[in-house]
Amino acid sequence: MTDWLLDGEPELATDRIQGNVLAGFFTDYQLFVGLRIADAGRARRWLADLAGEITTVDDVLGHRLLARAGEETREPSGVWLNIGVACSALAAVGAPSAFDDVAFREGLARRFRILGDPPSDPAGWPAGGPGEHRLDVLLILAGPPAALPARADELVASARAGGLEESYREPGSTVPGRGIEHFGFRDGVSQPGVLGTVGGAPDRPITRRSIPDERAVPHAGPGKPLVWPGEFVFGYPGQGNLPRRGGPVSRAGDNDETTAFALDGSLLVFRRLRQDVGAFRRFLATGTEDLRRQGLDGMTPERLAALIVGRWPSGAPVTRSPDQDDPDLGADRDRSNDFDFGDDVHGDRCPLAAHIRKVNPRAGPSDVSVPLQKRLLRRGIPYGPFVSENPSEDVDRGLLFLSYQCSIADQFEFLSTDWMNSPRRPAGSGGHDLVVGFEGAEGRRRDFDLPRPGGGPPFRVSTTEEWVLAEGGEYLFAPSTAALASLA
Amino acid sequence: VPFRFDPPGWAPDFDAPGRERWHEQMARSARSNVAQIVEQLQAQDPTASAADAFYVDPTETDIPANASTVAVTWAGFPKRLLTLAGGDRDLAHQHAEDLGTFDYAQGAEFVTASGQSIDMPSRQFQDEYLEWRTDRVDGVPSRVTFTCEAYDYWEELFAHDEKLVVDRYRELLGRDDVTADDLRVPEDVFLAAGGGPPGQLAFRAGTYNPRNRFNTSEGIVHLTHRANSLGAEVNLAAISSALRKDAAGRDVTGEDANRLTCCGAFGDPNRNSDPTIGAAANNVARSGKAYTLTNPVGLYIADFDHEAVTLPDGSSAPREWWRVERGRAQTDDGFERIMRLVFEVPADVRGAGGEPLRAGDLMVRGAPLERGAQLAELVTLHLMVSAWDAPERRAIRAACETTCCVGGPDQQVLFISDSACAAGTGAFDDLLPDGRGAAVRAGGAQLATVVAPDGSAAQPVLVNLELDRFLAGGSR
Repeated sequence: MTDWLLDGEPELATDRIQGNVLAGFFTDYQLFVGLRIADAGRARRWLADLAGEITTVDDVLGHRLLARAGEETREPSGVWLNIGVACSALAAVGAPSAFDDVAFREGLARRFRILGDPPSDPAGWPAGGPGEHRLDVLLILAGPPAALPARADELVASARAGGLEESYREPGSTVPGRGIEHFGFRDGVSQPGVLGTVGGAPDRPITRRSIPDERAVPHAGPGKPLVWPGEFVFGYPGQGNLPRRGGPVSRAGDNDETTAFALDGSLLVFRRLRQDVGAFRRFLATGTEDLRRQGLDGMTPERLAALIVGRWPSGAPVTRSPDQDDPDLGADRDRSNDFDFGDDVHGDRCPLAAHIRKVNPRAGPSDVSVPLQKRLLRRGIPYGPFVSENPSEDVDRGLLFLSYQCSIADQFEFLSTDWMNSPRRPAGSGGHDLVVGFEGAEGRRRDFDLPRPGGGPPFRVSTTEEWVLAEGGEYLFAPSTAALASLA
Repeated sequence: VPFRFDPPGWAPDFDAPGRERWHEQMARSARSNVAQIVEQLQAQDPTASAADAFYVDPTETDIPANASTVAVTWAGFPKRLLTLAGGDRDLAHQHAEDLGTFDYAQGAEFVTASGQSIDMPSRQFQDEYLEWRTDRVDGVPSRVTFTCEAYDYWEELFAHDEKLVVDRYRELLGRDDVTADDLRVPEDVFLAAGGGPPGQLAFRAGTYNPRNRFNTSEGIVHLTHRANSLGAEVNLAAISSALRKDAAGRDVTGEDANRLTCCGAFGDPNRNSDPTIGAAANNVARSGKAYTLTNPVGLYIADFDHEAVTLPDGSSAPREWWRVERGRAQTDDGFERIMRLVFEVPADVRGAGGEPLRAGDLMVRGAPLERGAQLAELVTLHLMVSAWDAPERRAIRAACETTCCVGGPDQQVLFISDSACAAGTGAFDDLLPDGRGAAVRAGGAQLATVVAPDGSAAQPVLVNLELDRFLAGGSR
């Protein structure tokens, strides 16, 4: 470890920032519990009382230190708890809710069309929406699988006494996939690092640095740029025009009361993304045939899938292992992330529309001059049985997508609408993100281009099929424990 | 067949001699760009020649048949305005269409030889090669018109055929009172610093006035902002091909587009466009590919997120409500060359109560459509380069020409400088060797310094201020 610091890295209030925001729970088992407010007055007090039970960044980091020292298991022995509250629910309980972010103010049920999602009726969503599964509050529980339901029951019982009803419950698990999502790919390989130091430990960066500080853009490790914390937590310098100098401090609203309430909090996107493994596999088969007809004789479904993702199932990037999977490379967290697309302007090695390029163009072509302003902290976890457990293609399985950011409109929605759903952004051309991008226009046709060696028009596969079905969720605010307690 | 530069978007404006004139103009700029690159490389290696430049003059070197086209895309809403507004998007939207002389310098004035003030404003904040204007009926937006046509093209057109330009104005604006005299600079116009006497000549009497009233206060035909010229864009797309190294000899790459821009001094690091174009061109060169700008060379509207505009019932406004009036949306190579785009609700569309539906009745990403700026946020631009493998070129790395200092709100505005920055304002401490001294240059090659009558340059304070303070100052 070479824990250097930049000038001006802020000390983070890790004793009150929720643990999943900056540290990430990353446990094998989680349970999501939704609550609907029945009695706003009582609900406000219940929320305030919950402040003492919220797991903070310090709690998670403390556990990790013990685990590293061998004094704790990797998984926590108790249950961690984090919370998100919808904007309408903040307003209902009389909490400050004058947030600038239009997406958060409106909520997912009014925004999902903007995201290009397949048509659906929010009233029928299994999570969120205006109906019986409304998510005024989302509780995220993480810990031993046997302990999660009991802890959820306990919280729901206390919530009921506090004027809230259970509206949703869903377990997530990475087992037996262990970091592999349902389409069979290692997920969450690349996360941004966060600048700033742990509260009370001015020499200890929140993101440990494994490489010396010798890049133009500071990196914690290969492929892991360091982003100013104001991109993810209110009240800190954000990513400005210069990677080594903090930008404007992130504020939640013009209104001082809201800005104070939001301090050390973050905005949380929750999406229930159902994955239709059968549809994805059928597309890979027909797409492979199509590309072979166009002259790409060596195409296989496995290869096409890797090109669409930008990585092989092991996580090995196609840009470093163009012809086949390389499990050793995939298992090496540093080497599997050590590339930047800067010398692959045509997408010869990694297609321009590959998922990992769409959401993170690195140093390659991008239509914004500071792409680090478009990062998210992703904290999702799969739900439903893995294919290895239940090979049926018809079961309900997918991803409980979570991301933390300070602007849902400029970060999460931008990535979705401006990059993943666009056939030509951020890299100028190349097609849609076929993994999770949508085409909102009539016909919903999505394209994916592969450059033709030697030049000329690209090879192209097109589809109107969809294998990710957005089935609700909500835009929420993850307050600091101090803000939550202030509701008393 | 020898290479010919076609007019942007294959616009059917010039006659045959006019097309020849345009070709010659573009060929001259290609030659001078190559010369500029060679000069930079020779500072590093005296044997460097045009054969080492990754940017290629297409009139000198044939483009191989297997060259492939790369589009460079950027967002059309001005990033610098957002920075000046301290990140306050509403404030930026409110002022995005303000006319003024901010594109020359803060407080710059135009005066005649006798010192009389003359009003020649531009769309002073719209500096991403995209400008727009909102037309209103009873205060409610009815139409938003976008253009990405550079003013230097229209200058050439006017110099060649005044009548044609008058006709184009009349067609595009739908009015018949435009005359050639309206489009001409009436007398010599000089820059003056803050109420001072005339300095440098800005516009020569009798030439085309790109900032005429039909293209500013009363309408929109083409780009007006000083930085929005085709020549500037071609120059930066060309000279950014030079591979760069910092004072310690380490590569300076597109990993940080602003850093590369500050090192190469090829544009304004505060915009989306210049660093993005420069980093993309530099990446092409770094990949060992030679390139040139794809014919017809121009800046084009690539796309607009039409689904983001919604009707009162929540459905998306039809794509047909966005009308391409110049350029082409459909092209043989698949890359759009849209040059003039109009958003308007067709006259026969009615609202729920039977009244005519207006643009101002629509929503943009969930907010009522109050300003064209909201639609400008949906527009992206692009330019295309043709690139091919060029293993014979030597990867000569040129030293940085300049660095950047910071100022403005939250120290977020970057000023290109070839000297040491004032204490605490250095953006990059490793681009130039220590102690390199020279006068501070104004923020970027596109910005004129206001010259005082005694010949001294006014302070380059151009963007070193907060937007609301600037506006409160009453400077036009």
